[in-house]
Amino acid sequence: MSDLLSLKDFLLISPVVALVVLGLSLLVLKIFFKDSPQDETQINLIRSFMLFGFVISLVLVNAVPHGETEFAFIGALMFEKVSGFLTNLLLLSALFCGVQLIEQERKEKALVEKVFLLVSSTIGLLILIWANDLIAAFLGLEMATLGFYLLISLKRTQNSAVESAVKYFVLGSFASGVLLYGISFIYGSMGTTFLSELVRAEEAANSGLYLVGWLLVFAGFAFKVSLFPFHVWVPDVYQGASGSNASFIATTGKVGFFVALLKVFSLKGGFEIETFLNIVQWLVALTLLMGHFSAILQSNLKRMIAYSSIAHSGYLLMGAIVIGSSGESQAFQSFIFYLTSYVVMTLGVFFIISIFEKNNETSLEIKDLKGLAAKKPGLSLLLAVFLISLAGFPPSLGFFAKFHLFSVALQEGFLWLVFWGVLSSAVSLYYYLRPLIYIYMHEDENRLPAPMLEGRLFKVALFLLSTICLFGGIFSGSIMEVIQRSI
Amino acid sequence: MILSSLLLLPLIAMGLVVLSPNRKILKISAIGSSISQFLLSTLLWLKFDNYESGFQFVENYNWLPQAGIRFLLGVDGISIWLVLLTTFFLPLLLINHFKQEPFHRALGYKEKIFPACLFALQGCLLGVFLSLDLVVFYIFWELTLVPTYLLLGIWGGSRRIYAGTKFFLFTAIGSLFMLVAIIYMMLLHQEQFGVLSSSLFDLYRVDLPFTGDLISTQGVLFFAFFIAFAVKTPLFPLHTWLPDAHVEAPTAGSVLLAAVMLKLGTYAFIRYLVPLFPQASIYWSPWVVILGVIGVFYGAMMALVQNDMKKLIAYSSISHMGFVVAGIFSLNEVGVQGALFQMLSHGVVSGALFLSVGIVSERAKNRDIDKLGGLSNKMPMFALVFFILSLASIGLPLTSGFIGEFLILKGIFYKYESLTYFAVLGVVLGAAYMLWLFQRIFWGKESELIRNLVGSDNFDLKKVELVVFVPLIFVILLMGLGPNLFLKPARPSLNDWSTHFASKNINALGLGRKNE
Repeated sequence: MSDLLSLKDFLLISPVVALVVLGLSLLVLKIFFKDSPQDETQINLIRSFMLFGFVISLVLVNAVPHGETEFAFIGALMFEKVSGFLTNLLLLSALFCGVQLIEQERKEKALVEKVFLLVSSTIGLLILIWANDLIAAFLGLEMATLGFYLLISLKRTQNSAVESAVKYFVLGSFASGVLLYGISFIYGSMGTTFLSELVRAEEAANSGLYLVGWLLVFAGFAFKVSLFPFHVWVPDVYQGASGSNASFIATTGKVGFFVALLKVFSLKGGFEIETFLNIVQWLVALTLLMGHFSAILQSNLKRMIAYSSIAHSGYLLMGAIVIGSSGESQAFQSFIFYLTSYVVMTLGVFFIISIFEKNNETSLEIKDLKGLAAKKPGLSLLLAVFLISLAGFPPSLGFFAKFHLFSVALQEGFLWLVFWGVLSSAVSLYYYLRPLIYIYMHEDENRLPAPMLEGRLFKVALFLLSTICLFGGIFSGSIMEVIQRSI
Repeated sequence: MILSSLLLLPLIAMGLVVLSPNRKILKISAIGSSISQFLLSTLLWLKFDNYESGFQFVENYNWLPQAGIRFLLGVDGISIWLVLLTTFFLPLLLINHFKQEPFHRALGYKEKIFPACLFALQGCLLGVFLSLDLVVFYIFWELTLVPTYLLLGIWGGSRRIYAGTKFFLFTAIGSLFMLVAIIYMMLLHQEQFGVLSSSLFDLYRVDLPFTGDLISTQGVLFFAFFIAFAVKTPLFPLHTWLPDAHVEAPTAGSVLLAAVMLKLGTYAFIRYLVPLFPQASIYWSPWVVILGVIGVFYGAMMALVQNDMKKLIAYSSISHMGFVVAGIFSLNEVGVQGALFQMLSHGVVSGALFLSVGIVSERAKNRDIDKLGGLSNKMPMFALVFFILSLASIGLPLTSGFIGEFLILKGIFYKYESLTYFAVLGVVLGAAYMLWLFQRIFWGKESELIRNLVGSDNFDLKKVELVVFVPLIFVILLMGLGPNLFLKPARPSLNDWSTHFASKNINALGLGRKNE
């Protein structure tokens, strides 16, 4: 930390540098594009640029060697061993969202800008998950969410998109304000915002100011990851946003926010304080309850998936609690496994939703799926696989994710949480089955034209997702091994 | 290798069926692979050592070493006949299914999925019977729901979605707590022996304290397992999904449901519940036997008042499965032997009965008993077949039903003399509803519906249908005449089972009186 800036710092953040170059070159590219919407060559150009940039970034993540724990930029960023895996996960999910975005919005205006916003949000999220300084975390978070707001609102012609962007913006900036307020409390009581120094500060752990600060920071993050009392924006925003944007917020965004939440709270102060632990346990229970029960009532597929993603935040928070209270690597493994499988399953569902949305302006109602199996057996099977996996039905990926999560939670003695989790996943079976009932058990009514699966890259991505979803459970042993080696 | 190939064959068959380009190849590949599966399981039976009490053909693969889950397969005297029962039914069902000429020329996806679902269901059922690892068992146990749900929901009657969803939710929710219990037992094993394991052999050794009330480790775990199995059986207060599911299911679905799927619960009672939680089983066994006897009685009474043929047979299934549960929880060797035998017998008989209901409703497009009547003039051969099946269902001596009921009653009599009288009353009621059903459908004046049916010359059973029914009736008579053939392989295993049981219970009740 002696030098202000060194080459090593830039080596460590080289994935971000690659993405910055990608984003800027996209903007330069835009100068040469005259007419909008784009023609085929332009789309191909954008696609290859994006692919190239992300691949370089992924290569850099894995190629640049670093030790156990390294700091960069005067300690503002911290690279742990596990950061490598999480960065990979985040970049890959962003890449999948990018593929989806280009495929869904190829006929829309301002494609380049959308891809640019996606890249810049990804940069923000990367900074967020690497952050060691709360201020750096805040900057990353704001950069990411700014991208989200803009992405949603770029579809200006559609009222629902603008509505959801405004809702997200107003509520989101309020939550950011709360977060920043909390950070200021922490700084006020401890004199530092560096997480690695806050860990060492034992003596002030009981001061009221400090606790309030943590509570506010937690509330800010809870909004971003859609935990119970702060979840109301999720269904509206997902419904209004286009499928690709919603999937970006639900997967890449959630990975970033959840990792940051975990990093902040498992480090210090958070889950070791008894009252706080109790509050968070209740939040898990209520998030599961709200998410699953509200999902039952939905008639719109995207709203349903939104509530399901709220419920999955509950499971993830359960994993975070277990990590916080045990600190064992096993708990961490199962949390990361759950996060990865959540990303895969949710991406899969949103991929299919975006196929529907591309052909029809309206957002997809569950009823519209009637008789899909007769028209599109392959697509129906894929949707079935993703939904069954989200429901946690054996032997899919989702089942093993829950299995490992509940195992560690039971080991740590969170019996009632596991009980609650199982009970609520029993409830969830009902609504995950409903689209399948419409797909397979109702006759075709020809309400919507059959969705067409197009785009080679999109197909490859969808194929990859479904393969992981189907066989990832059966080979979850080797996946766990990979995770084990990386933390 | 023979067990894993038994599990693999349905998968291959599914692939063949889905990829078949036209109807003829579809038919040949479906029936052919189901027969080859039956032959393979016959080979298993021929190579099975009847004097060996432990598991045979054991296969042990590492699957999830971090969680201590192994892919552990094995078969013993308790499961060997259930495996055969599963593979025995599928060729018959497929022959019955493919007998009709289809209306449409094109081969739709539904026609392909139907046999694929049957194969998937068969594979999962075999997986339940063969797996010896609790997590693997749980996975197969839950997986059976998916093909059944599709069978119910796509090819079922008018209320198919309600019935299918009810079935799915009942069984899935019932078994979720079993999952928690399994994880909890694995962690207990880790605590006591240092390693995570979900293999059955390891979990048998786990020490579970039992104090005689509900809130002890063993008590809670017992109920988590018990509810999962009782829903599937179905035991009396948890049975309501069964009549709905049966009424709405297509013939092949309800045959597999009645013949094999109902046996999952009772098999799991014998294999998992009682040996894993012996003290709790003994403690609560009187109540479970009472529930079983209530089921016998209740099922029979409900069957008496039904007007839908299929519903009547469904309620008779509840009655018969009540017998099986009572036999198992009499917790002595005779009772459990009887229960095993009754499981097989009920499998064959009720499967055959559902097939015949299917034939009636195909011909008459109706299953209401009051609209049918005088069928015996038009279909004498079918009347004979149905008569034999009814007698077997009643439990007439020389048919399969008698042996099982007799052994179960003997088993219950050792311990709960007074309950036996009620159970016997159930048998009497069984005779009443089956004979009455037979009388109302086959005898008497021809009803209007039957009279108006055209084409009476080819109304009776066709040759293809005879091919289906003759093996079934042969097996029923074989079981009635030579029960020893079926009981012999199970004897050493059951002997072992009760010694294991006794070793866990110093003051095991009633075990001293076995084989009197």
